[in-house]
Amino acid sequence: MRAWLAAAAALAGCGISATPDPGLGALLQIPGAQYRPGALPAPSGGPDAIAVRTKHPAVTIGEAREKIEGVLGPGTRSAVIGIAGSEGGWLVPAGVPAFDTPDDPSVAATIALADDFPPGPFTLVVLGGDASGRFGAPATVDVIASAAPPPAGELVIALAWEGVADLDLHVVDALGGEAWADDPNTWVPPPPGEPVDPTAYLAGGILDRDGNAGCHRDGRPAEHVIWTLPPPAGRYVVRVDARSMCGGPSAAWYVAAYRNTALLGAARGVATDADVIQPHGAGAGVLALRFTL
Amino acid sequence: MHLRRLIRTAGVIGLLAPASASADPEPLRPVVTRRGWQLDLTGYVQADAVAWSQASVDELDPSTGQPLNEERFLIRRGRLRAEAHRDALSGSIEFDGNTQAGPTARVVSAQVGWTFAPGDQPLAVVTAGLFKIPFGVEVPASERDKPFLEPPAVARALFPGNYDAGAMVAGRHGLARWSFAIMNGAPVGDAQWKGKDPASSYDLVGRLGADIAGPRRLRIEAGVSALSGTGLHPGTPPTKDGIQWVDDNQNGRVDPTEIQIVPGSPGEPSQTFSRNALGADLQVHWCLCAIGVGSAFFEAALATNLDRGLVYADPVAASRDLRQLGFALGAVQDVGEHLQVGARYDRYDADRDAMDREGAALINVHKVFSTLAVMATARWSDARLIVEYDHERNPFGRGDDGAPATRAADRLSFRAQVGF
Repeated sequence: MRAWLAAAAALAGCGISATPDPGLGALLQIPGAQYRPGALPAPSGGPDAIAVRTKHPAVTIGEAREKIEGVLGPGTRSAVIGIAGSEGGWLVPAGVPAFDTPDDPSVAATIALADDFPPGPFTLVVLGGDASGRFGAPATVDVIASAAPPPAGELVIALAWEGVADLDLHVVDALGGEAWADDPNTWVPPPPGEPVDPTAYLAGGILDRDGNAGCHRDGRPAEHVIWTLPPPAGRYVVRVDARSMCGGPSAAWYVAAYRNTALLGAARGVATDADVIQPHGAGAGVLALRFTL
Repeated sequence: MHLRRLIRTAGVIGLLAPASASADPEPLRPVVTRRGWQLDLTGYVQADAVAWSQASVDELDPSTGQPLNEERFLIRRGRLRAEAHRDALSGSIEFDGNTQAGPTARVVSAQVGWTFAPGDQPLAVVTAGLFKIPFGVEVPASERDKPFLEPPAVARALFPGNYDAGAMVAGRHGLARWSFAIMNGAPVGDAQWKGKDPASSYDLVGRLGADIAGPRRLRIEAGVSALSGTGLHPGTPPTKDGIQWVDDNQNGRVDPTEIQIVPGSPGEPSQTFSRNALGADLQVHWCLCAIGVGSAFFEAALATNLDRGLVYADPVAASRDLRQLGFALGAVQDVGEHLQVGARYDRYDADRDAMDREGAALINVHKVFSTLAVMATARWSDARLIVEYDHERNPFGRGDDGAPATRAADRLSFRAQVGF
């Protein structure tokens, strides 16, 4: 039915229209560009793309940070950016020429690799199109897709979740110190009057970030409490506190503890509105994990 | 005497909704009478199904987080209207419930009125409250009687929601028809102000027309409309100092040279701007006795800084006036007693002076919306079943040549309507 109607629309004189698909399922994503489904266009007599480069030889999977720049042949009006051998490209208008190539239009974009992008080398392709929609020979650059490295540390306790909710990781260490958003270190300073070692705070587990803080959404919310020095022996308690659901119905979370990258334990749970009405200070949250070093 | 007054009242109501005058007169209804007031309850329900939409994607809009799916069942309008009359006084209130953007219930119209009718025709009907904006034919027309599912783009852009609050004088004498209103200038569908008037000034809007009867049931309606008013560009409150991180070397770490101070700024006052519009409309009604009645229509509007629905016109933010031009034309023909067919083409240029990049150059482009709508209606008594195909063009996509292109948005829709 849908294909039949699409064919009828084409016969009615629609011509080729841009897709409404935002392209969020594509392996390569370019925020702000027009998604172009299907295979990359074959050269058809248009202007050749001259060069393309990335700022780094490796691009981290799951991050939208890497900028690419390219030089296009004279007469180029558009550029399609994609991955060799992969479906789907991104259409951007050609930009003004760079200072050192005054006759050649430019192209610039920030690219992102989807979470399920396979680690390893791949070839980024840029094709230039003219005013008639004809494309020329592509310019390519070889890039390596690398997985985001896990936080390094003697002991790492990680919380990750999906959605808009503001969750907080609480970790109580063997000495009774608690790290959480309002007090991000398990190290307990000495009482007033006693001398303080300026490096002593490094002995504690330190919270690296407050994910979705104040309902300001992160791309991929996560929090870690990290010991960079050997952690004290004893019993550890990990809790997850739902500070606010931020309009979301629920938030599925995952907690894991690693000792020198070896998994000590993990737990899953779901936060709901019922968790939000509980207190949110020190000691708050539902029990997620308990282990002994 | 009682019947005559009812007929006169029905004529007044028809005058308040000029386009519905072209529909067949409704039969008299049972009314409730209390202390000399006659109360009449009417309503209708429009249940829609979008069977197919090119723009529909099972995904969320990256900017708003709202679903992009359009293929669904929905209640487009569920209206309940109460009208009361006593001699020259009248009052009405109309409620609307719909599920277009989630379940919604609202007051869509509420008005009080006084009629001066020395003869058979109401010379002046004074109305105050929330009512349809008297500009052109499409905007004041009743959704209950419109042959096409949705208004043309020019009406949705210039008069979103169709209703605004104010006071109006309307009347007719002989061939002449007139309606003049002073209104808030904030239609209920205003994309920025949502029907709340942001400025103390008022919009003046009106239509002057004629209704000419010809031979063999030929009838011609024509009119010109105008609007003059004031819009508001929102100011900004003072801001505090802040810092911003720009990852210049893209290493994912905050380096000292990548922190920038964003200084606080003083507040900026809101500013008013003028907006205006001119419109013209023409309708020709005929009767092909072997087939049925039919009509052809044309309506156009030329406006400055008036788009409040599609591409919001803010000349202060744009540092220039934004000029709009739109029109709609079409025809509707009854085929027997139970079938009606029609077609309409509308085109709307939201910014006649817009610029965009084409390659390395800046060129003039037109933010044009156009729709070719083809519909067929089966009707029986007060029930209708409408099927409509809309072939739409818009400026939201980008083509292989780098130029703005239509983002596919054709759709096939059904509507079942029952009136009571």
